[in-house]
Amino acid sequence: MLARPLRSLLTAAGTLLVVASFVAVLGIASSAAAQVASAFNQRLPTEVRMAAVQTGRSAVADPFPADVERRLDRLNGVLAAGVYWRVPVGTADVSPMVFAASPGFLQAAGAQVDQGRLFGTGDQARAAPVCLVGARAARALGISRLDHQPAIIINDLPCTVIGLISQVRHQPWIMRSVLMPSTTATTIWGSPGDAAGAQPVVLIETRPGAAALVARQAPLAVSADNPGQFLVTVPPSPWHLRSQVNTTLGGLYGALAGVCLLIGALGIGNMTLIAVRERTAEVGLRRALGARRRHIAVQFLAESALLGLLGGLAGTNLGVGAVLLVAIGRGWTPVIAPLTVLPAPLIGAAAGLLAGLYPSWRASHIEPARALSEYPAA
Amino acid sequence: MSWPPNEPASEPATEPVTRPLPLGIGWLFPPPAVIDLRRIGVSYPGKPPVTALHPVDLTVQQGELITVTGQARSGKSTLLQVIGLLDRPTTGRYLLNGLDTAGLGERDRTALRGRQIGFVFQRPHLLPSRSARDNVALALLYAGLPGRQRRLAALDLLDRVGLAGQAKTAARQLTASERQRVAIARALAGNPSLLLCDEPTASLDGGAAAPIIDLICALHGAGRTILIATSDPALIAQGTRSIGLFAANATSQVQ
Repeated sequence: MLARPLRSLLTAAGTLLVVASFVAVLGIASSAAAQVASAFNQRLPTEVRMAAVQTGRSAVADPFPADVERRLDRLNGVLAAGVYWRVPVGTADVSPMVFAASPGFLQAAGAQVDQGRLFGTGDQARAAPVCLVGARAARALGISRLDHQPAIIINDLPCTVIGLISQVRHQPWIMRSVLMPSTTATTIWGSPGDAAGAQPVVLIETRPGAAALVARQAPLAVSADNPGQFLVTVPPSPWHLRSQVNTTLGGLYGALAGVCLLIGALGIGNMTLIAVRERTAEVGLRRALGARRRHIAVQFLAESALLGLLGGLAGTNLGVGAVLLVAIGRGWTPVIAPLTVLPAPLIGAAAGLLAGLYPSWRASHIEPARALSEYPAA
Repeated sequence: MSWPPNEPASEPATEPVTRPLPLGIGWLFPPPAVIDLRRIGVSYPGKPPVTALHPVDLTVQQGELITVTGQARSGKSTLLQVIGLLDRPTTGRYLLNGLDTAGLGERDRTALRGRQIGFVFQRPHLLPSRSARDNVALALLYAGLPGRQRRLAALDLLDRVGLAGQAKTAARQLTASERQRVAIARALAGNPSLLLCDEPTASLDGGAAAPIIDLICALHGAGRTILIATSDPALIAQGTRSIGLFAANATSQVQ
């Protein structure tokens, strides 16, 4: 092996490339999977809606206790919770629609204003005649500024517009609606359920991934003796799709890594066969000196495995470097599983060993007489 | 195998050596010949088949120095390869120290090569990047000796062939004559009872060949049985007997 350092270097280089490509493919696959997971995580459901189960045409009395928000805020994973319902203003096709909402609902919906302010607990406590107008509703009503304190007449009650909602995280219908404090609406129209169609709904904003758990716990938190009276809805989770995508990608990259190994092993085997041919005279000499076939086979297998191990060590480093370069170039977070890196040198040794099986068998069956007479001296 | 081996007899053997048998009646039952070839021939299949060695009879006693002569392609090398168990005969019977080699498997043939037969090839077949010592020690590698013993034995053998000072020199840096002497030292590593030399001086000029011839004569003088395939008159003159192979005839004639 040391007699031909260049040949040995080339054989080891073959293993180096095999292991480097193996580590790089798997490392890039895991980094890509992490990116996919991150993208899916951003689309995990974070809202839960809870309403009373409709049992008939008649309205259900307010199913939610007064402290429903406080009860839900205690659940692990809940960021904000609030109640809202549609106020029966005139005919059903009046636009914009008017909704009663608690301050907690505004937090849960992620409402933000670019002018004015959101109504808070003080407005709620006073049942203040104020309202918020969504951006689209404001355009329809011709309201663009608040410095002259515009007001909207709702059921002959003037409600001062205190804020224009510019964006929301959930419930996009808010942008074309008018919102007033729930206590104000109760003062004017009574509790929800008193009027037909005014069904209260609780909106809960959760942390990513907590929606399913909160959906199971919320009915019990609100009404432990009769949780079945509530209908809880959660947007579908992309977990299944993410799992499918990762499985498909994983299979693809795994197959690619396997192909790299196979091609590399074939290359190593070819170079080892050439080395056997070049060392035929040496093999014949060793056989003439008393080496048995298994001695020759073990010699070539050991050399092949050693070159594979050395190539594997170097290839692991090269593969990791390639993953880092790709991740940096793509702006990804590099993710390399320990199970990819730690056994890589052994994979190189195994590839060298497997690739050397046939060449070592060929070498062990070289007839010494022909080898010494036909081939030049080593 | 242990080292150092038992030294061969110091007196040159001019008569076949007989080992004493129980009851002191050894002279009635001389030991078997070292080499006993009966109609040994080698052919290789093909269209037409190639006869590498026409059938030959040959008996070699202990302590003889036999020179095998003949034209090119007369089968000299093939004869030595058959005797050295490097090749199998196609016809005939070969007894080595009374042992019929026909029934030997590859493992037994390899073991005999390592213990009883030393081979010096026309080309030294040294490992060029390894030192002279390591090349000689290679012959003991498969005898199971530990590394330090192998190296010590190799140094001793190099000393016998006059190359103790070149022990650590890489083979590629030695002269042609020195390489051949290293090859002879390697052939002696297992203290073989039979030494086979295939054209040992063919690649050497007169001045370089002389030390080789002297070395071979010294080994013969120490009692070894030696067969040399050669066309070197100086070597032929040293033999106790000369054998000629003729490729033209249907059978080889031994003289």
